[in-house]
Amino acid sequence: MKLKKYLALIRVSAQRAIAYRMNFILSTGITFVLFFSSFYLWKTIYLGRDSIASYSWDNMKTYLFISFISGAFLSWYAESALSKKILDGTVEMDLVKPLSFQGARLAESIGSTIFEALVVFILAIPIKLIFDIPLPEEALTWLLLAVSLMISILCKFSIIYIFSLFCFYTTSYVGVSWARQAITNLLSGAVIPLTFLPGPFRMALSNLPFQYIVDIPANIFLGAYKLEETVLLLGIGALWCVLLFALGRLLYALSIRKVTINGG
Amino acid sequence: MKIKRFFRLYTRYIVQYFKTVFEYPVDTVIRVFAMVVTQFSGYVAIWAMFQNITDIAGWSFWEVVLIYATMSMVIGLGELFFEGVWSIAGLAGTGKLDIYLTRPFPVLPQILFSSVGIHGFGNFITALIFFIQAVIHLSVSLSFVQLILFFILIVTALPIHFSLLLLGNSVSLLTRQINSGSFPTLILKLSDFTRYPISIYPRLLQVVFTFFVPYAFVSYYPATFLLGKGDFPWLALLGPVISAVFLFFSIRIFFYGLGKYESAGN
Repeated sequence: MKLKKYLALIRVSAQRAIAYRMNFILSTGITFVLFFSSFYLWKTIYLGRDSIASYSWDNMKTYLFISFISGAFLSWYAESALSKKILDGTVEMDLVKPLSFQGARLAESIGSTIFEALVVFILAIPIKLIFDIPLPEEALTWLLLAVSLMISILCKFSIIYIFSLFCFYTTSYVGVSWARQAITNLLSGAVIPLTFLPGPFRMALSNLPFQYIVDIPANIFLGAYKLEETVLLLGIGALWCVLLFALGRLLYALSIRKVTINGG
Repeated sequence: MKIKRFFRLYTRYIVQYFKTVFEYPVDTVIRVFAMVVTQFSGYVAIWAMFQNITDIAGWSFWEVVLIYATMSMVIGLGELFFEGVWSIAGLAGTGKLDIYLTRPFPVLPQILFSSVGIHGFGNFITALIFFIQAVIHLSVSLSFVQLILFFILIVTALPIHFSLLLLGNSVSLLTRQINSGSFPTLILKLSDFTRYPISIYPRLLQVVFTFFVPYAFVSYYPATFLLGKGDFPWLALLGPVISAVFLFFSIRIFFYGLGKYESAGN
């Protein structure tokens, strides 16, 4: 019964994504720019080198490919829709609805992600062919990738959600959004694989949830872990999703007190 | 007389804007800090890359930092001085452009003065610090004339950035879509390419970033001029010409788009 309401939100949000498809396609284009520029950057770096930090150029291509796919999810809609609600005060309309604010936003994000997945899928095929990206053949690897990408999306949603709550205290989300992107891109391994970082940094990051967004899915896909290790990592990732979701809930409860509603 | 009025109004706008800055101090601090974080993450990424390698196609760590910082300084200045261009889509979509059109002052300056991206300070200052660091580490020896030329190159690079933003945002006047912030963002994101030496890209992309989306004149060419590196260091001097051409055409396209504006009725 309760789930039905959220399913309706997923449907509406997917429809809205289709209505504003141009924005989604353009924002996937923005993610592609990151892929494209880093592709050539790394290609140049790999000239005359067989492997760097245990990654061959083929590994790196696959890594960048997964980084692109992960980056294309929850790219534009989630952030702007969420922060706009808080900034222009329409959050008050959600307060009177018999829905969890966080749950409703998650449902909306899932809805738009479905459409984004479609765009990514259509783009991924030509990218694979043009950039000659090697992909594994075992079905199990693909299944594990799918699970890890789901964890990646949930993790990213919670991080976006937590950062969006800043809007209760600011008048604009642009700065916060850019900082969030910069932090998650760096710490999740979207800009540079985490194996490239010096030891202490890598150690610190392995205790944080960011790596589950790009680095872990990519490495699972590259077959860097044994099956037991993979399952364990996915378990920890799922646990992080729950923890971050709970943290978002707590911070929302604290921030919503800032809201003052004038008149009625 | 006209210029005097222009500056008087500009100061008025800025003073008004700074009142809002001080009205929401937390907001300002968060935004400036966010940009400092963004900037730092870029340098950390370059640093991490150079932990594993010694150079990228012959460019050392500090040389890459120099290019990265030059690009960021101009982006920061852009945020400080022409953040207003991002409001074009919203103004046209809601019909608020009417207010600007009926005032006895040119439209474009009004749009530009309407806001200051205070976070640009964070970008500019951080980038400036890294730029100075890079210049010190590279021990660039410059003659006075070269220094003046470099300064001119950076100043003339600003209109290139402005023109590209104006072009991107004017598209919303033509498509009449209020929600078209993604397109100018995409154009701005193209500047990510030119945060690194463009010599690492295929020829075609180098041509694109030199003549069609000439962000290379903002970062790469001034840097090659400063360091005397790259294939064509003297191409940098073409910057002011490209800048003038782009400024002219972007303003023409903006006014062409403005001609299509139909207000929103009452």
